[in-house]
Amino acid sequence: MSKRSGALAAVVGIGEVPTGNYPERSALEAGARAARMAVRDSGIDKRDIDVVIPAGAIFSRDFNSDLVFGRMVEELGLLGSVHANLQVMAGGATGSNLLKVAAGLVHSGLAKNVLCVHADKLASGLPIEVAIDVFSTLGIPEEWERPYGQHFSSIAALMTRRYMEETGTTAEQLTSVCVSQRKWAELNPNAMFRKPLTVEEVLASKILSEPLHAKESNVLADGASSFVVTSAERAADVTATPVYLLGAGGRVTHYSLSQEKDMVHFGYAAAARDAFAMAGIGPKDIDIAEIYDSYPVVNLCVLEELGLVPRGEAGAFVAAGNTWPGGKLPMTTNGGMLSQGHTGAGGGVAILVEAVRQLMGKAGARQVPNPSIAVETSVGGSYMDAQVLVLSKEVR
Amino acid sequence: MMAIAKPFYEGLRRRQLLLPWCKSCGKCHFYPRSACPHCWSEQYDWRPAAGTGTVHSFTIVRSNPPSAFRPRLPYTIAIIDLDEGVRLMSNILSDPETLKIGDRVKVEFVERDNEMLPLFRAIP
Repeated sequence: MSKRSGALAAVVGIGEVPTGNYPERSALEAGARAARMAVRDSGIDKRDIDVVIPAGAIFSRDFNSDLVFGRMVEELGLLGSVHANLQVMAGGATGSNLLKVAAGLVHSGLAKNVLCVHADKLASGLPIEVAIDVFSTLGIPEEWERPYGQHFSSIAALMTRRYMEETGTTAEQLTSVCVSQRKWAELNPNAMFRKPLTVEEVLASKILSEPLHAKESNVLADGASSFVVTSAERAADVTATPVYLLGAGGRVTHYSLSQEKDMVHFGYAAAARDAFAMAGIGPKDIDIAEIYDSYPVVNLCVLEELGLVPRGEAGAFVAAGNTWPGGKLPMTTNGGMLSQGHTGAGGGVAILVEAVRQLMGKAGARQVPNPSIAVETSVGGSYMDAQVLVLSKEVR
Repeated sequence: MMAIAKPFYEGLRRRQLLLPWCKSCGKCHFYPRSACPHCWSEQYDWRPAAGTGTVHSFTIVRSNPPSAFRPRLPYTIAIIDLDEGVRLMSNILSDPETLKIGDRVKVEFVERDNEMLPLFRAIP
């Protein structure tokens, strides 16, 4: 995983429906709409899609079973031409892993064109009390952590306190990540929260688990997003705006948070080393950092571990506005899960789609001027893994 | 419950915090796995821990807990490095307002919902 590999595959089409609370919109219709958008965007004839990979959905076991058993293929009218329908699920890290799996299929020739699609309904598909209990059990060991009241806010809080202790980062600096995300979401018509947000408002919101405030927490949402992957060789014949996957790295460093050896740095540095070596780039080549957020501490950790900012300085870097629209390192430009909304496995799919959208030059009001290389990160479960992808407008 | 972890739970009922030491490679791990994560041996020597450790991180849960924990608000979750070199999660019984990362803590056995749990208190 450490030598330069050339382009592994290309993303040639993207689709997304608005993220938020949409009780009237079924997950199936949302997912199918996002998929049709992605295939149309790619210019590929739908009958040339030969593999469909639905991401795992959390709100309903029935809906997820439908996806596993081919409902999306049937819904989209692709029966007979698709040779495999299979699920990829890595929680928050699903987007990056979808692209890794799809790239492997097209790179090996086992597939020609792969449709990746996610849909979930975490805002309106299950009551909030149920949602909190779901997110206090998923990925949290029944015997070793649940008896002590562990849940997702306390996971983020434990990481945040340790990060603050080791780096000297202040509460104000942490909340500036939320402000940065919101500034991007203000420009994103698909985002759930688009009203301006200030550091003072975040600090005035109620404490969930110290030192985490309510407005430093992501909000569960309904949403769907999709992308189409083809081989690097075919990509330029298909579309004028292919986005190439140049490198991928990852490390699974725990299942239970209490088994993480380093809950300040995780495996990001090693994952980035692999991804950058494959791509033949360094941190200075990166124009946009599409970092999977979910809680502000994650962005600060990743900025540092990827070498984009010196260790311990990410808080000051974000607080100074460097990651905002117009800043020198645009970060999580769809608003992330803190502002676009958390759709389960789709939070990371949306961030991957956003990285591609920016490189395609299709990001509308929030388009970063002419970016060439984006880094995309994601992580699943209780921050179990560190996934890093390098995406580029050009084959390098 | 994993069958291999049974001695751990039986130890708690006797107010002992037992750790699995691998009979093959001699290393200790926690929580107990179905085989030693270092060498995959399935033979453990269960030895009582000293019961003392250091706070690696902690949080006081003030709101939005899992529903079963609503009556316990506020409560403190900590990640503790035991002196034997393994890490575990628990709750802190002593005053959380004065708790700091790096504080020394000692185990105390508390029965909760018919289950004996190893909880911790700061050593003054």
